[in-house]
Amino acid sequence: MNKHILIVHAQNNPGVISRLSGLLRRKLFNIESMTAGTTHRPGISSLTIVMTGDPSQAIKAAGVIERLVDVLSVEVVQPDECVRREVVIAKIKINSEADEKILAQTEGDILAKEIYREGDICCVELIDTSQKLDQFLENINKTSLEVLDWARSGVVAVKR
Amino acid sequence: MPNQKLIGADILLKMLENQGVSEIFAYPGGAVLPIYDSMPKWNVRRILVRHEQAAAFAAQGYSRATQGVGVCLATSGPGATNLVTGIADAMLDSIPMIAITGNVFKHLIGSDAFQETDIVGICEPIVKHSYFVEDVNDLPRIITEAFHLAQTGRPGPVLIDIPKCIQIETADENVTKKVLASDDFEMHLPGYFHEVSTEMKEIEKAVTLIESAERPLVIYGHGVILSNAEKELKDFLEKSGIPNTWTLHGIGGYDNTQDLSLGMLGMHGTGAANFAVHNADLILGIGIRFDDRITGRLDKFKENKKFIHFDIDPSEFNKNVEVAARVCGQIHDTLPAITQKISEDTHKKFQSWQDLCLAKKAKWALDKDKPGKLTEISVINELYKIMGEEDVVTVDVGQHEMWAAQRFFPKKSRKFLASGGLGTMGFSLPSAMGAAFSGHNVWSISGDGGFQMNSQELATVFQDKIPLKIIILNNSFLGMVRQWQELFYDKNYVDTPLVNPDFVKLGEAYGIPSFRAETPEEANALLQKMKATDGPILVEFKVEKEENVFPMVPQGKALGETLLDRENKIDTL
Ligand SMILES: Cc1ncc(C[n+]2csc(CCOP(=O)(O)OP(=O)(O)O)c2C)c(N)n1
Repeated sequence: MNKHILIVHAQNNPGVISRLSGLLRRKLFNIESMTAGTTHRPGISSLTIVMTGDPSQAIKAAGVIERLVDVLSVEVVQPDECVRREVVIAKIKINSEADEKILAQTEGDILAKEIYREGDICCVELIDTSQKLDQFLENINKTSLEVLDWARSGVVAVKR
Repeated sequence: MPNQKLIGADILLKMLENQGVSEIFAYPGGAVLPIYDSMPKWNVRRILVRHEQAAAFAAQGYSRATQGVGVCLATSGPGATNLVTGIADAMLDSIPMIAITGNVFKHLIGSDAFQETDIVGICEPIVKHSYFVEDVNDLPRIITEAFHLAQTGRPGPVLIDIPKCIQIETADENVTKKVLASDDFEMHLPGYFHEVSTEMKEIEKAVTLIESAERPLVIYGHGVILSNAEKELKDFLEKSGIPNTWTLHGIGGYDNTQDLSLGMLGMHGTGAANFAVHNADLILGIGIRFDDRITGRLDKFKENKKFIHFDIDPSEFNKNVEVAARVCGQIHDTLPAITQKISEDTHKKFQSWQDLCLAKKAKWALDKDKPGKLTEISVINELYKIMGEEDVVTVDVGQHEMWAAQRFFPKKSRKFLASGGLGTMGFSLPSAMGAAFSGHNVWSISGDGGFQMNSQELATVFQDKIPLKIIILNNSFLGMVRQWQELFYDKNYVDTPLVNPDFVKLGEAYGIPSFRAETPEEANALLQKMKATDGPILVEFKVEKEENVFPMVPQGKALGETLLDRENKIDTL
């Protein structure tokens, strides 16, 4: 299935995220992720929505989003029109010396970074495209490392 | 009132005054008590409904009949949730309306306090926009924005939820001064673009499509009326000679007694209208949204034809049908551009298509009265005959609604009011209460089922002396549902036969002169009496029980399969 990225700018009013997500739910759009944060303009938020479906679905979604009074702009952007990143943090238990080596190896391969360690618990972050994150998670799953938890941020994007 | 301190409740009421609101449809309760306490100070008349749903419908009826913005008000919790159906109804029919609710004190919000509901959350999918007021000094801006949003662009309902503490909080002096001076408040709606620009190339595409069509058809709808484009539509239809049909909400958008006016289309559309839709090679959808009740089976509806779509809401394009030209904007701006560009002799080209449509119109006339029998059709026909040109009719939902929609050809818009999109039973009586503020005679028509959904409003009619002419068409059934049971469920009449109250006694109990007609003669005499009566009057018409509305397109079927009666279908090219 095709993935589409929508970049939305909206007034940072109470309820705006709820309005957006409710709208997308009740029109039965398939949303993979939705992220929101502030922008350089005070009072304005930027949201990145990743949805699946055929391209006409993305255009329809943009159309109904545009109707929201809080929304300043919405654009369906092609992958080559934007720069996008996602963050994953994986929490890993290190059980042995061998694990240490594997972890170092995996980090090196994929350019992940250790950001926390206490005792045998270690947290690794990776900031990259969603595909790279998928690959990273798949890779560590294949090793003997014990992954206790992970969290992904969803995609943030800006137009080129 | 100079140098006065105003609390939120006063600010609200004075701002309503400033917006030109002279009456609100309302019901009191704990969370709006400060507003009620302030009411006598301001020139806003209250209409005390007997159920908040009726307040929402009355507000809508007001908007629908007067072109103004109706306002309803309810307390928190159950008061607010009782508004919901009326708000949803306004949303689906693009009716401007302001719904105001009280809510619990801000410090109690989120604590499941007594009569707390998240009405903003509940209404999210059914409002054009909503506000939860957090600061009394924001109220004037919010009210200004709410009225602007409700009536510009594609109209719709706006909800303003005001916690009780805001209602009693004193506003800043400068805000108060401005409110008292009826000054304008600046709006902050940077994301709201209601002025859409029409692309010239779409207009040109439309002109080319029209000029190269052989069997074009206009379907016009509510958008024409909401855009005040009745004259522009008339000019276009007269110059182009394109046959036309209309949706339920298009009634009155054009003088539909004209030859090429083929009747309403859709599930209970005329044979000629549905024939024309089925066989057209070009459809101009003017202020319509291609709802399933008019398209029937969608793939068949779309087959072998192109579409030009006129709408103010860009998200309507390609929603249900893929369009060859999208004419975005107010119809009163966009349509004249096309009228001007099409050549003078366009209409000659369509001669054979016009003749064909006219032949079908003559061939498949609507069902007539049954001599000697009192039927819904006979009452509706007689009412249409005696009604004044300015009279307004509100219908409820069901068979009577469709029979009336097929037979009413008002010369003006805003004369036939119906709950189209939501199809809400109980609409007629309360919406008629609101429509009465247009100053015109208002006839409320309901079935015996729907009437009982808001019959408590007879008390409002009596107390506020609203001069309605109330018609109950009593067929002792939930008629429309019974019809489906008869046609598609083997007459398995589960829960559609009604054991009804004595409607005449009911009306009288509320102090309203009430009568019953059982024969065509009594019916005609009582309709005359209704016409001549100045105050409220109610008449129950005991009509034939098991009549069916035809033509009919059974659900899931194509318009080309329209049934003229139980056995006969229309033919197609
Ligand atoms: C609030 C609501 N509940 C249920 C329905 C479903 N419904 C549609 S028409 C109808 C029957 C209406 O009967 P009546 O009011 O007697 O009018 P008639 O069809 O006989 O003219 C019903 C139950 C509805 N439209 N609205």
